[in-house]
Amino acid sequence: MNRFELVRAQTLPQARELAAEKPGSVLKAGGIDLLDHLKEHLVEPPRVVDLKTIPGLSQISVDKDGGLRIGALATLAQVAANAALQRSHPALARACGEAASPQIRNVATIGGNVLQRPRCWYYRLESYKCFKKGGDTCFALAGENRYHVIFGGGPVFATHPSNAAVALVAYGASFVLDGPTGGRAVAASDFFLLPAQDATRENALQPGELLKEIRVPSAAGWKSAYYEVRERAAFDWPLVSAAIAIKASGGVVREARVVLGQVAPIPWRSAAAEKALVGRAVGAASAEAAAMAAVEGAQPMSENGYKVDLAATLVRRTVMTLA
Amino acid sequence: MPQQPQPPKPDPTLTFTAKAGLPGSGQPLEVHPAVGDIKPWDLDDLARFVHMGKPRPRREGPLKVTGRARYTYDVKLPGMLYGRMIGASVPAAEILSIDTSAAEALPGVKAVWTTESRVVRFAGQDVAAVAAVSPDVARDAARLVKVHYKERPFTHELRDAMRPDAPRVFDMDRFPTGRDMGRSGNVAGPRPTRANRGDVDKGFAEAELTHEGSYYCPVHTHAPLETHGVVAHWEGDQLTIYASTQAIFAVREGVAEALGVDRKNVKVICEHMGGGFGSKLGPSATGSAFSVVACRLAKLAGAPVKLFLDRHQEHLCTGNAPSALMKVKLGAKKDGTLTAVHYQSWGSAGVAGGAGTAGPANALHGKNPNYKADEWDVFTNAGPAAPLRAPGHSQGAFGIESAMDELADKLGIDPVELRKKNEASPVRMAQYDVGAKAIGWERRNKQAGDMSTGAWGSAAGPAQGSLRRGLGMANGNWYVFAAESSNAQVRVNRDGSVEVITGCQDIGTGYRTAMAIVAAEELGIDPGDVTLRLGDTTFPEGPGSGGSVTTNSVAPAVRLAASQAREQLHALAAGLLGASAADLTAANGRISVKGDGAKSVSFKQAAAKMSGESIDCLVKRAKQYETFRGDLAGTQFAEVEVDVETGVVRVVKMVSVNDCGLPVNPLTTQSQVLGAMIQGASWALFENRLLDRNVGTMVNPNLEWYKILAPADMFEAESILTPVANAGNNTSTAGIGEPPIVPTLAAVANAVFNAIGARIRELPITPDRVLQALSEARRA
Amino acid sequence: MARRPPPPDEGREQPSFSRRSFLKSAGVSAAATTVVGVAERAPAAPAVLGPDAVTLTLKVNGAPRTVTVEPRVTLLDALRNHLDLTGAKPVCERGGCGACTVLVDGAPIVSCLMLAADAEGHEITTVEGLGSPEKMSALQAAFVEKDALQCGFCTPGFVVAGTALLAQNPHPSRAEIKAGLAGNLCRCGTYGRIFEAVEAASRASAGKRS
Repeated sequence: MNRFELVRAQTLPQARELAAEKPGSVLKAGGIDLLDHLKEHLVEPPRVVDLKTIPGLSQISVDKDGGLRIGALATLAQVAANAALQRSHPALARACGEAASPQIRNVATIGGNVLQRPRCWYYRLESYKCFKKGGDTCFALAGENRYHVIFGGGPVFATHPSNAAVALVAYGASFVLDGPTGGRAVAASDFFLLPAQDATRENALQPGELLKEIRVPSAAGWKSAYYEVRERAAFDWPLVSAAIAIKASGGVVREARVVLGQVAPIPWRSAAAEKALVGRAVGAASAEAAAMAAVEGAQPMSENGYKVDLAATLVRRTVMTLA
Repeated sequence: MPQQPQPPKPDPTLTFTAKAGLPGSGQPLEVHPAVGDIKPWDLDDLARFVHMGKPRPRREGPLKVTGRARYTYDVKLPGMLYGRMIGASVPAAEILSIDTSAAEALPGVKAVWTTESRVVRFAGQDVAAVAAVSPDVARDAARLVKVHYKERPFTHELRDAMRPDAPRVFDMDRFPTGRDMGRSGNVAGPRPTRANRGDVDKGFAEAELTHEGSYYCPVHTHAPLETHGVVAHWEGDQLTIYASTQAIFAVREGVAEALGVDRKNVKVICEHMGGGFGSKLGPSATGSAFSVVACRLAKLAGAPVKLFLDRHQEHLCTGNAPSALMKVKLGAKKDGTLTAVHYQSWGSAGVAGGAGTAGPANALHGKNPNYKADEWDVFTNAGPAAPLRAPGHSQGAFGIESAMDELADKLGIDPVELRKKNEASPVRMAQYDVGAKAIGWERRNKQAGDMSTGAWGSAAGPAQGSLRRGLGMANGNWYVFAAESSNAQVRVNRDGSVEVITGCQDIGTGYRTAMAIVAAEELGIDPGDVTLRLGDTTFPEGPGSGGSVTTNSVAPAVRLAASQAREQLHALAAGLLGASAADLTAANGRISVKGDGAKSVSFKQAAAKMSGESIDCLVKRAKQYETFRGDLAGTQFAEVEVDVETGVVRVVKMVSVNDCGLPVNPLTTQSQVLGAMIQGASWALFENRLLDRNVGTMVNPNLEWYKILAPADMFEAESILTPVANAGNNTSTAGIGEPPIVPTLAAVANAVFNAIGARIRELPITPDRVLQALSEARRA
Repeated sequence: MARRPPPPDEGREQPSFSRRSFLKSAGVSAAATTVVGVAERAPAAPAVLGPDAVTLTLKVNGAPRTVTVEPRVTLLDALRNHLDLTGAKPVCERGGCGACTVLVDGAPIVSCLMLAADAEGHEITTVEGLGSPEKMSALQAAFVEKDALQCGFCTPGFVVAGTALLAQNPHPSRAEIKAGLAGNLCRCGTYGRIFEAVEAASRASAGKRS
C-alpha cells in the first residue's frame, strides 16, 4: 500500500467532495476489494474516504409492496441472514451467503461486491499491464483463460466477479446512484458495461458518483433460485453461477429472467433462454430448451470450453428447482 | 606404489535376538548393534509398555491454541528492522543494471543488498533486498529498486521445454546435473540406475496382455502457511538467527560458510515452525539465499533484521514438487502375474535437476521379475524444486498405480487381487484386507461407472441422478532413513527433574512429545515430568526434519541416554535399598526391587543421592542395524463422488493403512497420516502451479487461485497403523510424515475411474478434465 | 446455506452479528433516519488521518491500547508489530486463508484486510483474549485434546473462527461447522480433528448448562 490519508466522511455529499478534492482519491466501504487493490498497487490513492462513518447506509428495509431497499453498505452477511429477504428474494440471499468466506461476508458490503473489479488473475497482479490497467492487451486471450468468459468478450475477457449482481439482474433491481448533480437510478440490466463499450471499467458509474442504495422490486408471484458450480465446495469463485426467476400462472411461464454469472464481463442475461421458457410449463422439456438456448452463440476460449457445458447444466438444474 | 585404501574397521557389535515383524506373526531376528547399545524394543514389549504407543496430546498444544507459541515470524527484537527481498520479474534475462539509489534515499531505509549474478533463469530469483524501519517502508523501498533486464526467450513448462526448438534454460556445459547423464536441449538423462532387474523385453514377450499409458502431474508448491524467513541478529561477531526451518544445523552451516564465519559464532533457534513439507531443509530455500541476505543486511544496518518472504515470493523461489510426465508399460499373464514393468519419466524441477519419480515403480509389485526405468530431468525457466513430502513418490505412484488399475480393468481382476498377486511385502500383504474392510471395498462398482452394481444413493437437490460414486485403491512405499548426526543428552538433576536436550526442531509433528514418551518409558517416570530442550544449535546436533527421519533418528539416542542415566540412578537406589542394581526396575516414578514392589524408593529420592548437581548422558545415534524390513509399506483406499454433469469430484472417504514401526504416540502419528491424505487429495483435485505461457510468470501466486483443499472439501479420513517391530534400532521406530501421501493421488484417480468409467490421466482432476474424459469415453 | 435462519419476523430486518457491529460503529439506532435525511444534515468537520502516523486507540481483549501507525497499516500489522499480539498470523495477506482472524464486536473478520484505523471504536478480540495456556477455553482445550493441530500456524485462526461459530450456533451440525470454518485453510491437514474439537467443545458447553 502507498501512503495515504484516511478521511472519515460524515455525509454522502461530503464524501464526494472529499474525494474530489484530491484527484485519484478512492472511496472505501468494507474495504475488502480496496485493500486487495492497495496491497497490489493497482490503485495508489492520495486519500481514502471512508464511507462507513456515514450513518444509515447499511439498512435493509422492505417496502409495503414487498420491494427491498438495501443500503449499499449492508454487509453480505446481513443480506444473507435477513429472514424476510431469504423468503422474498431467495436467489439474492443465497448469492450473498455463498460468496467468499464468513470472515469476508462480515465486512464486505453488497455495494462493494457489485462494484468490485474483476478477479481475473492477470488484472489482479500488478506486473501484467492489461487493458484494465492502461495497457494494450488482454493476457487471457492467448494465455491462461480457464476461468475467463464464453460470452461478450473483447477486448477484455475477464468475467464479472459479482454473484450478487447476477441475482440482482434477475430480480430487475436498480441501483440508486448519488452524484454531484443529484441522484439517479439505473436498472441493473443497464448498469454493467461490456468491455467493447469501455475496456477500463465494468459499469456506468460516472466519476464523482457513488452507489447509495439498491432497490429490488417485489418478487411476489415470482419463483426464483440461484446456484453455483465451484471447484472447491466453498470459499471459491464459481466456475459458473445462475440466477433464474419465473412468473407463472395457470401452469405456464408468463415471464422469465435467466442470468448467468462468471461467463461474461457482465452478469449475462439470456433472452434466448427466457424465450424458451415463456409460454411453456416448467419441466424437463422447457428446462432443456432453456439450457440449450442459454449457451447458443457461446464463444469459448482455448481453455474454457467446459464452461459451456456447465452453463447449460446449471440453467437446466436451476429451472428444474422452480418446477 | 599407491597405497590401497583400507576398508573401515567394523565397530565391535553385540548380538540381540528381537521378536520382530507384525504382532501375531512375529519371528526371531538376530541384530547386531554397536557395543553400548541396548536390546531393541520388540513385539514382547508391546504388552509391557506404559507410555509407548499410548495416545497423548502434544505438549506444545496449549501454547499453540492460545496464540502464545512463538514462531520465527513472531520474533521481535529491540530496534529490529524489516527486510524485503526483490525477485526477478521476468523468467529469463540478463541483468543490465540494478539502480538502488532511490531506495537508499528513502527515509527509513537502513541497508540495501544487490546480487552479483547477472543471469536470470526464473522469475522470482534473488535480485536485491532492502531493510527498513517498518514493513511498509521496506515495501516502498523495494518498489524503488529499478532493475533493467535484457530479456531472453524462455520455456515455462515440461512438455514445452522438451520440444527440440525450445529456448535453452542452460548452455549444455552448465547443466546442473551429473556429468554421467546424457544431455540434449533442455533434457538430461536417462539417469543411471542400479535398480533395473531382469529383462523387460523377455518379460513383455512372455506377457499375455500389456497396458501402456501416459500420466501427467503438474507442479505443486509446498505452500507452508508460515512463509520462509529469518530474524538475523548480530552482537559483535556473534550471530543469532531465528529461522523458520526444518534444519537448524543446515542453516548454521550454510550461513557460516556463505559469510565465512566460524560455526561457533552462529547460533540458530527455531522454537515452533509453521510448516515446511521439505522446502525448509536448506540454509534459506532452493531458489533464494534470503537467510544469508538477511544476515548481510543486519550487519550493514547494525540492527537486527526480520526478513520474511510474502506469499507471492513463497510460491516462486522456495521450491516445489517437480512436474512429471510418466509413460508406463506393463506386461502380465491373464491371471494378473506381472511379467514386465517399463517405466519412463520426464520431470521438471525448474532450473534444478533431481526430478526422478521411479521409486514406487521400482519398489512396488516386488514379485515382478523384469523391471526397467528411464528417468530424465527437463529444465524449465521456473523456480527450482525442493523435496516435497516423499519427493517424486506421489507423482510416481500416480503413474504406476494408475497403470496397475488400468491393467486390472483390462484383465477383469479386482485391483486388490492384482496387487496381492504381485506383492512381495508381508506387511502390505497384511494391510490389504484391513484397508478393504475399513472402506467397504465390497461396495465397489464391479463395472466402472455402472451404477447398477453399486447401491449409491444420491444427495437431494438439483444434482439428483447425476452423482456417481466409486472406490479406488493404490499402494505407496517409503524407506527407513536414519540420520547418524543425531545426538541426545538426558540430564537428571539432583531434584529429580529430567531434561532431554537435543538440537533438533519440532516442525509440528509431535516430536517433543514423542521424545518425552521415549525417555519416560525408559526412566520409568511420567512423560509430563520430562522437559524437552530443542530447536537451538548450542545443543547437541540433531538431524534435519526431512525424509521422515526425525523420530527414527533421535528416539534411539534418547532411549540409550535415558537408559544410561537410569543405570546411574539404579546404582544410587541400590545403595538406599540394600539391593543389587541389576535387580532393580523402574516404573511410575519409583525404583523397586524386582519381585518385591514393597522395597522401593522414589525417582527423586534416588536422584537426591547423586554427587554434584546432575547426571548427564550424551549419546550419538548408532547406525541403523539389520531390520525386519528396510522399507515402509502402505496402502490406501478412497471413495469419491462425481457429478457427471458438472465434473465436480468430492472425496467421500479415505482409509490409509501404514507401517511406521512401533508407534510412539498414535495420536500425533495418526494426525500426520490424516494430514498426508488431506494434502494428497488437495494435489489430486485442486493444485496446479500455473505459469503464463506467453510471459512466463506465475498467474496464481496466492492462496486464491493456487487452490488448496479447504474445510468444506473435507472427507471422512481414517488412519490405521499396523505396528511392526522392525528392530532396526533400539526403539523399532520409523517415520510417518511422508509415506501416507505416496498413494493418495492414484487412489483418488482410481476411485474416479471406478465412479465414472472414464480415466483421468492428468492432474488435477478438475471439472473440465472430468467432462472431457466423459465425453471421450462416450465417443469411444 | 448452513446458517440457521432467525425466527420469522415479517418485514423487519433481523439482527445479526455484523449488523449489530455496524450500528455500534456508526452510532445510530435501528430506527435511524433515512439516507436522504442523513445526507441533508449539515456535515460535521471530517476527521483526516495521516498520511503520517496517527495515534489510534484500539480496544483489544477488553483493554484500551494505543498505537501510533500510518493509516495504511492493517489491523493485523498493528496487533503483531505494535501491540505484541502475534496470535493472529500473516499467511496470505489477502483474506484467502483466515489465519489472521480476529473478532470485531464478536464477529470473525480477516485482520489483514482491515485497516487498524477502521477498528477504532470496536471491541477487538484476538486468540490471546480467548484463553491462556493455564486457562484455556473449552474450545482451545478441545483442540489440544483432539490433536486438532500440527504446525499450529493456522490454529489461532481456526480457534477464533470456531469460537465465533459456537457463540452464534452452540450446537452446530457437521455441515454447519464446515460452513462456519470455510474461510480458514490448514496445510498440515487437521480439518477432521478440528471438526471433532468443535463438536467436543459444543458437547462440553451443553454439559455445563444442564
